Amino acid sequence: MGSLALRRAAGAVPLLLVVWTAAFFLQQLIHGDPAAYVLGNTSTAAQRDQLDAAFGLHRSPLDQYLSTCANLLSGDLGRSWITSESVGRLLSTALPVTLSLALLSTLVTAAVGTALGIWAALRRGSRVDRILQLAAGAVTAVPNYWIAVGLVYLFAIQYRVLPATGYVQLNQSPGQWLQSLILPVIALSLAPIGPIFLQARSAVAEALDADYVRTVRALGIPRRRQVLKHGLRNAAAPIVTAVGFNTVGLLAGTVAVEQIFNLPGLGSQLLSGVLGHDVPVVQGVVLVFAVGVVIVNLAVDLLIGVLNPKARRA
Amino acid sequence: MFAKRAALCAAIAALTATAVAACGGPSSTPTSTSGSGGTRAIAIGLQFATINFNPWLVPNGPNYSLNYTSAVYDSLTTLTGPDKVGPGIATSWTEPNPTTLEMTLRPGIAFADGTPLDAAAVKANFDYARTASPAGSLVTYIKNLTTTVVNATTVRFTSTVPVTDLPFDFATGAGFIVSPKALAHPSSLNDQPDGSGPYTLDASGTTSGQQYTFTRRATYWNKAAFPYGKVTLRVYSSQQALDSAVRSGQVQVAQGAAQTNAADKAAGLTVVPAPQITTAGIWINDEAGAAVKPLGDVRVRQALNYAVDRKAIAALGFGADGTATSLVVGPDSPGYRANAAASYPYDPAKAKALLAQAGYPDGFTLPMLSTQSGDLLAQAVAGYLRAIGVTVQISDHNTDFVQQATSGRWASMVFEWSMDPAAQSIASLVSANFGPHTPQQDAQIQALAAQVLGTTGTAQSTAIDQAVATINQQAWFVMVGTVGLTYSTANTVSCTDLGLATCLLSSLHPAK
Repeated sequence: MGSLALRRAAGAVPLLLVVWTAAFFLQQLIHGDPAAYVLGNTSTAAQRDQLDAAFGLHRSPLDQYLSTCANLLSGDLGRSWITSESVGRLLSTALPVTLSLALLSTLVTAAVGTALGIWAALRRGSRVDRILQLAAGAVTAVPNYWIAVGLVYLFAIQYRVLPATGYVQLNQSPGQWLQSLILPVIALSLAPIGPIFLQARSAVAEALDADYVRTVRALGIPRRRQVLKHGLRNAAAPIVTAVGFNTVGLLAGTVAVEQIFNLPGLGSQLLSGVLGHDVPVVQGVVLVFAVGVVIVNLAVDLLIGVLNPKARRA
Repeated sequence: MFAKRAALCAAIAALTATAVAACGGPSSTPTSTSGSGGTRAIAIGLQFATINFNPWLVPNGPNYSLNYTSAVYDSLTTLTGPDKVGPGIATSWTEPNPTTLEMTLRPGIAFADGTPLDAAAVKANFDYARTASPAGSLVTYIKNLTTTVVNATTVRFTSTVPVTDLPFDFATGAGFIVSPKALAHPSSLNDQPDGSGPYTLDASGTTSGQQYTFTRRATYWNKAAFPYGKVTLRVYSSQQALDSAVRSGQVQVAQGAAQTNAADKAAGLTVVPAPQITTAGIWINDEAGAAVKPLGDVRVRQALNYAVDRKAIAALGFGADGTATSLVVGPDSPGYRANAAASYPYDPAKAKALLAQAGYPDGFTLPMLSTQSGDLLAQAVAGYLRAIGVTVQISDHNTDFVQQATSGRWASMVFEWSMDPAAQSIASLVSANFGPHTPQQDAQIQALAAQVLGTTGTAQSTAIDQAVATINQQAWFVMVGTVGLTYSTANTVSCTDLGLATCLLSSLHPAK
């Protein structure tokens, strides 16, 4: 298992380098002088030159790129061109917000999607099964920002049981932390529950129809054990893959949801960085998202390896 | 078996929680208005974070930095109502002649760093502001001033133009006094204010760009004017989030929007309409045609004005109190004339003819700076301009809108503008130092601007009328109408109307 993790981690390094390189060179296509943009039109040419030099923009793009790579290796992601704050610090304050959102949403989608999938698989063809399949298609089609606005109106404005906006740190108040994330997590989780439910239903149904489960049933093993130990365990690999795939989608969804709930996470930083042409911030956030995707994929591979020993040799 | 599973679940939950907690992060604990005296708290929702705490360099204005700066700095004078100015640092003032203002300063005030606030400190501020590089937008108001220390508590301002409006200017942004110690190292003001104001910045409750918490100074000289012990200014990147926050009680004060007023009232909030002094529309920043050549021709600019159906846009977007106008001033501002406001009726055929006369029968491409909140207006105008062949390229900038607007990169932009006070605003519009706008140095308009600043009474009113009419004829703007601006407050809060179309800290009090 350790060697599988090492192989996957080693394979991720070139991928991250490609993302970092693409993020840098794509932003070279943006027109205009960043120094003039930051200093305003009352600035002098000398002031702009000075700031250009501070940003390192007087050098060739290749030099700048190699310099950012060297800085990256030493853990320095540079400074925001707009606020002069360290990008590392900006990311470290934004990361917990997005991490909280993504982790909780993944747990909710995996738990709810799988539970409903098992339930429907045991009642294939029933009215409940058909309704759940219909609902899965419907929630997948509804945009998360639309769900978010509806949730705010109902639970924050109409009934005032949950906060409409804002984020509270976990170490400041675990209760308020959870409260501040309930609505964003629901908004982010509803759509991915659909595909995970469908995947779980299909995989569990297939497993329950297999010969070995029929044998287990003939041996008189209790129904619950038949389903959870023999059915679900063998159906777990495609479910885990679906959860991983949807977790990557969740990361993208945080951009819109963080705006609606005014959460100061990576999505908000990315949006303000893009709108402000703040290259170091955009590059930093893109890298963190890429690392997130790599970690999710690695976790999926390891979990599948645990569930299916044959996969460890792949 | 069950115990093992439960232990595993608990371990996963604990690991998740620890991982998230270990990272730390910002917080925005909901604030309430409970308590009394020094323990009372208030949260105000804003759409713009301050760039820094140097009041001479930040973009001025109620919706930009005025709430931030007025929390930590005292100003020479204060607003006590629409167009009414009262004492601040200065207890009284006289005008020995039309170009001289002499102010008596309140004794015993000190900055947060302990430096006394005296006439020398005031002079240091105005000397700094005149020479700061790059210059702030407030330099327009004070560039003609010479400051003299008469004695420790008396300072004299001498100007090349009449000083009638100076006390008002001092109350609305151009009179915040910073400690001379901080001015010696202005970069220290990037994130750490140094003033004598009612509050100090609480770093532990502040996350730059998101939330700023202020606690009241125990020794402040005018506590009665600031009844809240703790003030939180929260930044919302979208009007939707801001509106959710005020309706759900997370903030007690927020700028409203025409589209949300009815819902705010239904939620039990007080929706207060502001005077019609704020106009919204498109600013043509590149009138010389340096970047977009067609804009250098007055016929093209007039064509853009004829192409837009103001009445339709104002009726849909500006609320019941909005009025369609092509003027840069609203009905409650000097210079407004109803016939002049209707001088560009909706006439796309005439617009096309003017474009053809100017040599652009197929139109041209117009880059336009916008914000999320201004996007509806930008899209509406873009739709009308497309009909005459002008393709508008809209770029939304929210958190960095101010930097973009003053960068000189944008040939046009969506903007709201309050003409208050009218004389200084007119002067700003024709000034080469005024951030977003780069007006042609037209001799007639410059002469009118000089008259506006250099006269008083009827002569000044006439000059303002003529300046507004000339700007309108030159089509420097594609104004659409006056915005029915409102602000929404919780019923626990009362806001005194200062004529600024928003609530400032000094105008907020607990409701009786």
